[in-house]
Amino acid sequence: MDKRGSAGDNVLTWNTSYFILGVLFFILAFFWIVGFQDGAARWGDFYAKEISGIIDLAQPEQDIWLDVTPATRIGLKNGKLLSEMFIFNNEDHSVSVSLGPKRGNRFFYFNKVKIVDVRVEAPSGSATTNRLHFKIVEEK
Amino acid sequence: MNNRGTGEALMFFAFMFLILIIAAGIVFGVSSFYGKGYEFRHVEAQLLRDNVLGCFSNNDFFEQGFDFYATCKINEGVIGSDKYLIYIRNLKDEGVFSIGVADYLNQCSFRGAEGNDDFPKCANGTFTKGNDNFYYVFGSNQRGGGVLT
Repeated sequence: MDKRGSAGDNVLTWNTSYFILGVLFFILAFFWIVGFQDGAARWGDFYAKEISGIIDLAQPEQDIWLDVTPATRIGLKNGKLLSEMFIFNNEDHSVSVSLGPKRGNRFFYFNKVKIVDVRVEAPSGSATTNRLHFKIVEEK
Repeated sequence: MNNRGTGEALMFFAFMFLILIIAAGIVFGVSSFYGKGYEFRHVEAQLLRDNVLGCFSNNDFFEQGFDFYATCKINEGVIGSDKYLIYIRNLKDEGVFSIGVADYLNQCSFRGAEGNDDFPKCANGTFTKGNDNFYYVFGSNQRGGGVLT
């Protein structure tokens, strides 16, 4: 009787494992696809690359103002805070733009500068315009 | 009786195979619908060219002990990430200054690479400094990536 019980337990364990794996896969696929909703992933990719291009072109002590209204519209709709949408990492020299839940797009810039004073002003410039501001400073 | 459990364990491979097939189908479907990412590599190669050639016109890259990264204000961690090529060759004495993935020099010269997204995007041409002419190739293969927030 003990043997039958252990075999049954084994089957249950495997089925439970498959179920958990299936649920994990479903959750991952769900969040990945949701990232494309409203073009969040595409706009995130676009802004990350364009902002890195601007940084590569920039010189130290420049102030950059950038209209990010389409991005903020999507981000706010997906529950992101303005402060969470554009992240600059001065350690690895990357720009991350996150407009969807739990994920974003990252791109690296090669210009040896630091990014400071990052903020998104909304509304800014006009009643319906949001602007991203950051300052380029020399990296010591 | 324990052999029954072995059968369940073997099903793991079938299960993973099914998951992989479904995942590939989802990725293919989403990619077909939304298209590929924003193509920026060619622009980045041109930006790299402008930055480096601007520095090159004021400095001697072929000088012994020349500190490229510090002088030209280029980040070593990014350029050294195996996604870039900086190649400058003096057409007179064949002196070469090269940083990054040397194979991009070949990949950028393939005629078929122009319309193929699997190849890096490059900016190449010639440049005159003083009495010397230089041939340059700047390549980028940075596609960007996802990050958890």
